[in-house]
Amino acid sequence: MADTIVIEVARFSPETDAEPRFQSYEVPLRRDWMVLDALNYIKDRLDGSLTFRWSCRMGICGSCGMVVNGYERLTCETLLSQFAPGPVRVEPLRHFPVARDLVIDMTDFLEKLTKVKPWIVRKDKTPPAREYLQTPEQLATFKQYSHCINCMLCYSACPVYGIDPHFTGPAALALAERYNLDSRDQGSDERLDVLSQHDGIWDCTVIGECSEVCPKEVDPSLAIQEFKLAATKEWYKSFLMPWGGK
Amino acid sequence: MASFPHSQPREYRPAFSNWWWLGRRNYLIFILREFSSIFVGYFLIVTLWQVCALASGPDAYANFQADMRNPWMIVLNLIALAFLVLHTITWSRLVPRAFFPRRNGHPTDEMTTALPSYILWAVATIIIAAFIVGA
Repeated sequence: MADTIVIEVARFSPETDAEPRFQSYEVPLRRDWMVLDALNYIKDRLDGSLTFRWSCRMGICGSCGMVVNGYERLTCETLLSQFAPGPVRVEPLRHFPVARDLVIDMTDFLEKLTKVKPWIVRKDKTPPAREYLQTPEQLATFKQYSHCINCMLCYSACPVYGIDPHFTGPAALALAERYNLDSRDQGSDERLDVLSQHDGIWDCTVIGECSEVCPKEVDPSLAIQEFKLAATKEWYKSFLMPWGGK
Repeated sequence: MASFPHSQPREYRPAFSNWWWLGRRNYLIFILREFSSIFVGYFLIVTLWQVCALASGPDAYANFQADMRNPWMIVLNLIALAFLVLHTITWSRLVPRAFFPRRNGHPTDEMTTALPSYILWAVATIIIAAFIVGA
């Protein structure tokens, strides 16, 4: 194995660049290094102006999602040595505005996330005397969706979001389904009213790449199809029983 | 609160390529799956043509068979058949997601719901093939 590897990093300075360009750096190729370690080496030793997000270094915070050699990955979980002899190309996530270098602007996602009410909605006004109980089976129905870390890899891999930025998108829909399936929640009707709009669930064409790239094995594609089934049932109910189908 | 229009940093908004579907295997399969619907429509027209020829008598049906033996028609039908197989397999694999997302609270596995589709497909193919060969 060679001692070094070349990393081509997308650089974009809003003050001077009209569009991103690639800059190459030669970094040590260490067996236990992740791509994030190489980026930190560049930042610490070669070029302090390189800008990227990272935090936990253990696949939990979801900050370091980038496109590495054409595929969306968490750079803290991506071994550098698998790309030897290189070069390795690192780009910001697709479909989002680039603020600087590898940093994207997630404002659009955060606005959409708020719309789907990713919290437990209760219709009773008074707090309960004790905590809401839940069986392991009830927990199992939504547990996989609760693993979402908002890393945005699924948005980057979703061509529908690239074509139509109004699409609510995989992670927000998966989190909405997480609360819909929660036995303590009573807000599924409110969410469905928002999500059954055209740019909610119906934009999804079941490509499934969102589920493929998810580092936490969440299946947003399944969540969207579950929503479609629920919305269809609700539509038939309201059509056949307009006096009280809902 | 005062606004500061120049404090908003300029961002780069990437353009979306029309060739995005060539970038990844799953994207290509998706496009081919959608494109295969054209060939489903084509076979529907051919089948209606065949039924009309059958209803019009032996001469009309003989003409239909002669048209189908044209080498160009055979090539077209082979391409259409390949797309039809792709269409059937890809959509059958999506059945568990589209109609039965959950079973006993857990996501339905592919084969549980796709297998009946494949069996139905095989049985229908055998019956229609027997009818055509017998005709």
